[in-house]
Amino acid sequence: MSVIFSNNGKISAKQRKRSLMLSIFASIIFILPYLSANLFGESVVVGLLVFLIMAGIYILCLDRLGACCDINNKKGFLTSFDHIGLPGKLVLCISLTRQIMRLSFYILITIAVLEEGQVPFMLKTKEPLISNLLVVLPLLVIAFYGAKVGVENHGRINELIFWFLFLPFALLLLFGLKEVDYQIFIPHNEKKIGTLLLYAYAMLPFVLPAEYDLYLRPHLAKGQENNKNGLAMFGIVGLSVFLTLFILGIYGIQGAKSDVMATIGIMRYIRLPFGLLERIDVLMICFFMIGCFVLISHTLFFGGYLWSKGKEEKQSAGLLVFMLIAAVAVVLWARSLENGLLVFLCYGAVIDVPLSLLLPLLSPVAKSMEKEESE
Amino acid sequence: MEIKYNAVNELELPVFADLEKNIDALESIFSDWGDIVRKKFFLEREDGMLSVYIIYIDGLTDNEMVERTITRPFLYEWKEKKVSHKELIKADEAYFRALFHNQAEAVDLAEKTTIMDVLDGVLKGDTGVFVDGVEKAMLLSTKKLPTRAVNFPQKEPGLKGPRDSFLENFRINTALIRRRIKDPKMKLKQGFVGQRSRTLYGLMYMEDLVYPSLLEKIEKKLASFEIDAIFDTGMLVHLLEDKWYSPFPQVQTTERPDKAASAIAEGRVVLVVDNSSEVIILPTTWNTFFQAADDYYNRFAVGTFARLLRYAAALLAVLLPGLYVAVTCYYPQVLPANFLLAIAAARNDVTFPIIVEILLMELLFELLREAGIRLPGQMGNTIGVVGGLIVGQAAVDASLVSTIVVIVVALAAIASFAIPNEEFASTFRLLKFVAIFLGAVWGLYGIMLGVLALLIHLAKLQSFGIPYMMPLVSGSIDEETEFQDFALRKPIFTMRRRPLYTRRGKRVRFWWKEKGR
Repeated sequence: MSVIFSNNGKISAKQRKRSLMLSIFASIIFILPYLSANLFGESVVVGLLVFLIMAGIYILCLDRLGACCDINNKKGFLTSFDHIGLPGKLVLCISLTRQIMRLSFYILITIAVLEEGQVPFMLKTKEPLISNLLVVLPLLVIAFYGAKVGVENHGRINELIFWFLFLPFALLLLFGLKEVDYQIFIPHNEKKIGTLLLYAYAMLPFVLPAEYDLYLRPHLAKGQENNKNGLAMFGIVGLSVFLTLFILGIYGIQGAKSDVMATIGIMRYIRLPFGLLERIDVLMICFFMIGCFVLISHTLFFGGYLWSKGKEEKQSAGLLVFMLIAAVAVVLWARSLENGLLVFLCYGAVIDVPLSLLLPLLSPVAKSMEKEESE
Repeated sequence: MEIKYNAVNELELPVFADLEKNIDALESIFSDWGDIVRKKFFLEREDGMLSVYIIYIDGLTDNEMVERTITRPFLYEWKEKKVSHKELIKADEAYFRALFHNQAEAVDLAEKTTIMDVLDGVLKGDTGVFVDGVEKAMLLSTKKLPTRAVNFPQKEPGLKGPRDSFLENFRINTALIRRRIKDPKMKLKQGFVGQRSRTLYGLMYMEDLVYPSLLEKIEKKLASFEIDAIFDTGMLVHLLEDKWYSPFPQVQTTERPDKAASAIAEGRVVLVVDNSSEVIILPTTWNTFFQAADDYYNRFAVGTFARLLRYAAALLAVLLPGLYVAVTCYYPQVLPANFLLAIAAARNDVTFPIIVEILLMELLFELLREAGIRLPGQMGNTIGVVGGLIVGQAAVDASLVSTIVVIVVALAAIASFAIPNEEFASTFRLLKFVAIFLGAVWGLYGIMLGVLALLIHLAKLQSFGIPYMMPLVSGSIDEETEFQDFALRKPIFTMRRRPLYTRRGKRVRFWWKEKGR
């Protein structure tokens, strides 16, 4: 019998794209202006171009890897790791730890965003005090609510909130044009190529959410597989890079170097026409919050998703709560965004990025081991 | 006779061949019924006298019709014929049929074999006739229920389009839809709901357009509960919704027959309930609540503008007071200096903090609204004038509230009235208080937390398997079709395809004859 909506755990190509674009954009846009100004200095255009190329290669690798997994294993990257004993459990634990590490960094970003957005009761300190975490708590609860869903609803939520995140940046482009110092766009390089490559690679952990494509791929509805998903992801990295340059053009490289939340700080310089509002920076918190929500909720969702698929059981609320508690513990250990950023970049570049490419390769191995065991 | 009802309040009693037994049962059932009319009489025929028992309820039944279709043809027209045999006879089935099909002057009649079936009919206003010797009774349709005339739609008025609205009469309601769709493929499946009220309901749908799975789902849902009585669609709505805790209505009700007919033509199902002046439309989406019937009767630009206005109104209705509280309490620096000074000047003599001020005005408005509904016509209007002008002005003069707050509350109120569906608008009015609270506690952060929670909730919500936020979460199934009637109401000739509710392969609804499909 034909049905209107089958609720069969399938998503459309559009939902997949939006989910990935939101994650990648939110992951990059908050920190990139500050980081690129600090790492590349005056060579920011060239540096960001190298970063863009590197991100493109990374996305291409993931895309090919995904396609390869599809051929070897109909389930895509996901397979039951629980069936293959200790190595399987180890893979699951590593996957979960990776998500927790990311989650803690995203919580640190959220605290910084809310501080910058002058949210009532947020104390602007260098350290994430318990009181600040308490202010963030409702957002964590909402993120939990958004993560405790199936793939279909995850796709729908992303489809719904997609444009909310881009609104402040559309305003930024519209009304900030006259504030930009366009000199910044002229390529200029003072760094050695090795240094540029190293720094660009160091920023690659910001593109890690592209990895989620491997998990969403098996859920694509029939006839939706062939699309320009890789291009969309690369496009959103390109947009983020362009906006970063735009922000640096308004803020100045020196200014951005000292302001971790340059992306939000920049809104102070945007004036609405006709004297409609005196300042829009504090209002923009509404939209930046969406970015924070996306980061936390997506990480929680995919953490829970990976675990549940690996163990072939239903997604559990307990696991998501555990992830949140563990991430908060890491936040308390890291104490500030600057520390967290340093840890995230080092850990990301050395461990997380390589693992994001290596772990999918284990999937066919796990599959064959599972087959052998069953025989 | 002792009468026993089963667990679902039904009698398991057959119609007996012995008329006396039937009379005995019916007398027990209808003991202490002041408005029941029953009579046993004898039909004098050539071969003897036949005992017949007739029963109906005074007030629900057309007495004249009973006279014209049953009693007169059965009794008076035989009076002058000479009857030689005076002994009692018993009828057989052939005799029974001949009696009703040849002698009675009724068209709408049905044979019933259980007392319960006869009771059902009698309680609806039909007349039951029992004949001695047959294990069957005949039910003749003689209903004449008290009803009012077809009136203007009170809750969904429009400047253009038809002016009729549904009534409390089931049959008139189905007829109002039938007169709009004259297609034999439009079906009407009837049933009962409510053990005691035995409320008649009907599912109306286009056989070829509706998804069978949708129909099955609705029927399953209706069969999934037992309740003592259903008096209005409003009660049934709560039983049909999946997420009872959601503030959003997951099924749509309308009092406009044109809206119901249009839904049927789109492959949706209309649930007509007896004694209710509204019908239920299933499934429904967020977008359908913003559609007014006259959107389609107006030129497309006017329809689109009205639609956009309604979406903006919904945002204002929910967020404006909350935003006012958040901005004035936490971010006054956002406002232009002159405007800020104006607010400060207006609040100069006001004693209460902004949150108290706004809650006071909002509660006053809700009170006036509630009082206006309860009071009869003219008095309702008076309370609006008294409340809006006199109390509002007095509150400002007494420095209880500032003029700006009056404007904010009035704007939010007007915005909520621009939403075409009352039930949906009420949700926004309710959420407004949540936004005020969140804005007061946490400023914009609080409001945005609320908005995020709401968006997630809406994205998860479904109505009979259809995502509530269609087409915003359609996943690009068919964007052209899904967005043709969203914020933008496209010209009729461009809305070539029916929406997603319609069965696949049956979606084309318009084509130019010259160009073909």
